[in-house]
Amino acid sequence: MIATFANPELVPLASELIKDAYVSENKLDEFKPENIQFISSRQYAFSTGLLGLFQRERIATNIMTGSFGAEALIIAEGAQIAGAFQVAGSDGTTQLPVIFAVCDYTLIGEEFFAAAAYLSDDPTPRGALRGQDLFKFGLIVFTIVGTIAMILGFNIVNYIKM
Amino acid sequence: MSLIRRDLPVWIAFLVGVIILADYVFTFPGLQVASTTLTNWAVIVTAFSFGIGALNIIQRQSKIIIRRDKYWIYSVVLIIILFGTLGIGLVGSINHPYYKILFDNVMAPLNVTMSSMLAFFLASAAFRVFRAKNFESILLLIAAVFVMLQNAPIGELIWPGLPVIGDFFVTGFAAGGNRGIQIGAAIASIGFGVRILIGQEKRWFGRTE
Repeated sequence: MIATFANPELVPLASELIKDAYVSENKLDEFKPENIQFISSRQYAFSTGLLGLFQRERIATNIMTGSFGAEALIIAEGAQIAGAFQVAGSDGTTQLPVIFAVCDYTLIGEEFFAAAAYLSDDPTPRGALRGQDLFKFGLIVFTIVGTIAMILGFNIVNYIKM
Repeated sequence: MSLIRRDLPVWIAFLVGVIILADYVFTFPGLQVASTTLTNWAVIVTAFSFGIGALNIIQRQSKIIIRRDKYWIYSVVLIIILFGTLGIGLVGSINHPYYKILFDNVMAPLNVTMSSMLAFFLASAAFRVFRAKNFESILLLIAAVFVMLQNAPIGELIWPGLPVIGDFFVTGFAAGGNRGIQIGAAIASIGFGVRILIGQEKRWFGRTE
């Protein structure tokens, strides 16, 4: 597994996390610290670095998560050209159409935060997800009720202010 | 081990998070000083982390050069450029003429090259997604055609209603969907932040066992 970053402060943190994952699977001998790579904090330098990496390492899978700008398309297309299976997730919306168009699976918005809970057996994050879903449901109901009230001429904001 | 590895990061995250959040709500002068100090620390830590990043690059590329891996010569170029730029920046400053030459003649053209390559990648991605292989692709294709005709002058010439339909896709479906995703992501990020603050989210610093 090769992990690449645009933020250098993530390198030591990720190194520990990934090493722990190898330890958990009893495969510490397969862990290579040089595979935790800071490429560049500049978006095009980062994407250029990844294009080279995809071709050199002949990657099988590309999992890209985080906040992306224009480099998202370059990275995703580069991995597509390399023949990699792709999963992408972002909490932003600007690059979602791009990753939706290019990647095999997409984590949209909140799914990005929920992915770990779905993969985990830990009841705490799963419970938190359930709580978020209920909160969102309430928000949707509130939005629909508010819209209908406004259409019917009831300014619901005045009642809330009371 | 457990104290340093598990409890200490949780308490640090909790204290820092509470101070920063409380500064938004309360107006105690002491709190404001503490919050500003912590924010400044974050800036300093981030600046130092670039040193870690450079070290990471040097370690990795040095190994490639020593092992004479495939394309090792590119690692030599990278190391020379890295130390060259660093040296010029340290001896002179970022306003040094050589530093400016490097930036204007190497960094800027490379950035523009990659930026212009976006057009080709975009065409390639558009070709793949517009093949209408499933229902979602068909919907995307229909929406894209209307939005393209809305933005292209020929759309209005063909039929004045085309830009109106395109505009409906942008301000109706796209804006609505966008806001829905943003609200969901905001709620999820608040939930995630609260879990970190109260110590229920421990995956970010490794094993919990």
